[in-house]
Amino acid sequence: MALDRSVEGDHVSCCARCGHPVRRTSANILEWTISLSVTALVLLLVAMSNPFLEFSSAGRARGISLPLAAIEMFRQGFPALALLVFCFVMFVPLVYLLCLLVMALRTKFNLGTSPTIGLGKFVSKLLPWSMAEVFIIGVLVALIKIVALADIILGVSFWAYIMFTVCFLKLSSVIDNHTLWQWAGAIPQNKSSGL
Amino acid sequence: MFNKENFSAGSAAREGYIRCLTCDMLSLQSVESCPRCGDRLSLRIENSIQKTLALVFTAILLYIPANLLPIMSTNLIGTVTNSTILGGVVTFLDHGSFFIAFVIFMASVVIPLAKMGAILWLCYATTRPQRLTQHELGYLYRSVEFIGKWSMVDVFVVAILVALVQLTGLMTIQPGAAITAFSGVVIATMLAAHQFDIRLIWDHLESV
Repeated sequence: MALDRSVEGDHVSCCARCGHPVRRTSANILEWTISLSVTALVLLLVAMSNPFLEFSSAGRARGISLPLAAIEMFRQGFPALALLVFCFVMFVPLVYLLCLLVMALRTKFNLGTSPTIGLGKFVSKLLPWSMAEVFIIGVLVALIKIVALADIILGVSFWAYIMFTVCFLKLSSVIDNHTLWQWAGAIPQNKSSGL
Repeated sequence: MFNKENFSAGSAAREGYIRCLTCDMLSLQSVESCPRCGDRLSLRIENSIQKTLALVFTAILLYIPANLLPIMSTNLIGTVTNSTILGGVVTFLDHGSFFIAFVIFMASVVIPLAKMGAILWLCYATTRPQRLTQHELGYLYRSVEFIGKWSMVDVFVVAILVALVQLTGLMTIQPGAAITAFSGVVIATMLAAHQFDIRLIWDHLESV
């Protein structure tokens, strides 16, 4: 039993009983998804490979990159936490974006030979564990805690990560589960058959 | 185990359908696994309340060391200070940063407690006549689900401080054991919310 596909453009369909939005449709959703996920991916890679913050006091300085925030926890003897921070802040968003991009590109250009059910399942379980926006607030609170102690320089990565979060939030508000599964469940048409 | 008459009128279960929790597709109840994504179908998550309660109690137990143990220790030119979650809030209040104190207090104390209380209440409300309407309970559940990850703020604050403030001999910060317990609380409550089957709220529609 499939959904009514006659609803198009920017619409929200709500549950008749509890009023919760059930389905959200957006115009040009494929194009939105592809452009936003490419932008977010580039920004995330920039954020992961550039200096994040620098902290200096009394002539001594320490700069960190984003992955180092997780690695330092590992060095201090908290491997589980290091893994959590790395996953929630970098790895989960990265994998989510890559999977989404693959699914959207496949649907848009009619590539591949089989439906992407595995990816679809993975992606729908992954989203609640992406915590980019929570991390930003965490960083801001941490900065306020130490801003009086020393000089702080915000690196390229800091701004890139903020921009990445904005793109990511926009993306997760555009995508809805039904659209995702329409992509995942679609059987690519064989182009040589003339369809 | 499931009797059609137990479900409220108009629900998919009453009409002979079953919804896939992974891909939201409706199938006939005679089907064993979802035709689209292949996941096993079940009308309601099996033992949903028991699983949810087990996870909430885990979270409650972890919440005790999370508050009693130090969340981090600051070494400032040889002087070591251990600080707990509430200690951090008090420090901010002393410095006059009321807004930050409020953010930390909300994220680390109020939200986890409210979340655990709300999940317990939801479990209770599905088995007893309710004071809140189903609409309000549904809203409560969605709020719990939405707010779940925001308690991780404190863990990220510590992670950033530990990574950044490492000027040996001058100022260093080490993480404390409470941080592990606290992230355990956050993860356990998030899993508890995922295990709770929201449809149970509406299964007693007629009884109200």
